[in-house]
Amino acid sequence: MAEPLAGGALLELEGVRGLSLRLLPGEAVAAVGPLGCGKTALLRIAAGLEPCESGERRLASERTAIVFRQGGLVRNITLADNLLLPLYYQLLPSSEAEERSSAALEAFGLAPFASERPGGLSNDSRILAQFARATALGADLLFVDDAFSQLTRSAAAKAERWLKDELVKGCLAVMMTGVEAQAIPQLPTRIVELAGPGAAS
Amino acid sequence: MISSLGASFWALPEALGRRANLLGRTLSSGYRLVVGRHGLTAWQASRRVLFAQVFFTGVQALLPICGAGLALSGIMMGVGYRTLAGWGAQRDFGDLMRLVVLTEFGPLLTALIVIGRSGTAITTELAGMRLNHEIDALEAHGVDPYAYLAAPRLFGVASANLALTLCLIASTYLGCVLLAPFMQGISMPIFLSDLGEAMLPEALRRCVVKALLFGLTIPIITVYHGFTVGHDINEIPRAATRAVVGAMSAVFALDALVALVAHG
Repeated sequence: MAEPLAGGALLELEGVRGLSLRLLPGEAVAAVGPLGCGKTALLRIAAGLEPCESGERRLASERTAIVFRQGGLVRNITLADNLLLPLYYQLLPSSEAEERSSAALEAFGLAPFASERPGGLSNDSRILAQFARATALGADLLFVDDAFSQLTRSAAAKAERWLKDELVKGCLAVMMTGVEAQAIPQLPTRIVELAGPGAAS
Repeated sequence: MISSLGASFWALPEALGRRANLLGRTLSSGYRLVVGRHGLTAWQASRRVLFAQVFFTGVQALLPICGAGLALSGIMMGVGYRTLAGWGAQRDFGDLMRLVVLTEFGPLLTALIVIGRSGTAITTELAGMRLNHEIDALEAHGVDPYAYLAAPRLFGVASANLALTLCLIASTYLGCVLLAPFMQGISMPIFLSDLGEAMLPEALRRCVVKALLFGLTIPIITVYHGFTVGHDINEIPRAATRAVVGAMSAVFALDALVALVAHG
């Protein structure tokens, strides 16, 4: 059980790779900078995928989700099973899990591909499926690793619309990365520029 | 110089410790899965992975295993029986079969085939999953990769390895029986009774223990190398090589250990 943070924050980073930030529900923050400046490393630490070697990371979210620019879906199971698997581990009854998974796939226009494996899908569908997984999971904290630069305009618009709706509702906080601020969706986003390897400005 | 000697000295216990840690986490995740802590549907999802592993490691390897058993029977009859017959000791062929096939080559040969076939597949598959962020995605979304990926492979390979060992031994004995009529001066009833009488329960127990030990060791080492691969695609073949060499070394070391313990 994660400890609640002051002010209802979902994520706090203190001196992690030179960066300190607090993320509240309804907020979006984007770490932008040139290739190799440590954006993905920062995001992986924030998401708990890498140990925090310097500084401190505090997480109050119970349901985090992540969208990778490549991969991120188990290749030898179907798209529907990719959404169902985390729901099973949330101890949801299978009928409810299937309902949530179908609704999430439907919302992103992926229902026709539910029984396909990720390898047979377009890059757009694979990335949108990860947003659908976050929806099905009811994520309150989402990490997006430079995924928007990989999407076509229409798919990016679909993901952006969903993000805006969730942020307005105040039930989601988002941390994103991107090479440049233009590649980040037009949300009320705080931009953090990473200047060099591991340094934030 | 001294520090590098010290590092080499600690490398083996450290490597053993890391694999023991993986075994502990896998067993604990497998236990939580089986007793229902992750829920029925999570258990069903892992069970599908377990069945797929048993099918790949066990069912699909039956042909090469039976082929190896039949080839071994040719060696046993062609070299073993003829040599014993030359010494007038052909009645000891049953004992030779028990010592060589049942307790030694049966489990060892099966383990080597399983390492070559399934061990490399497990390492490359998991390493590919690591590089493709599939394992990261599972962890980030609350799916225990030890329960979903490691435990089914551990129990799948262990059970398939035991079944394959028994199949290899059975096909070797069958091959010997089929070849016996072609050997000069052999009496089938005496040959069959010698084979049957020499098959002691103690030897069968040792065979089962070895098959289980090898069957648990192979996935521990191959899963470990798959899980701990670096972020470069060139790491995959290197991880597979390390896994094969590590698993083979571990199997030989365990074989020697069991032989030393069993023979006092």
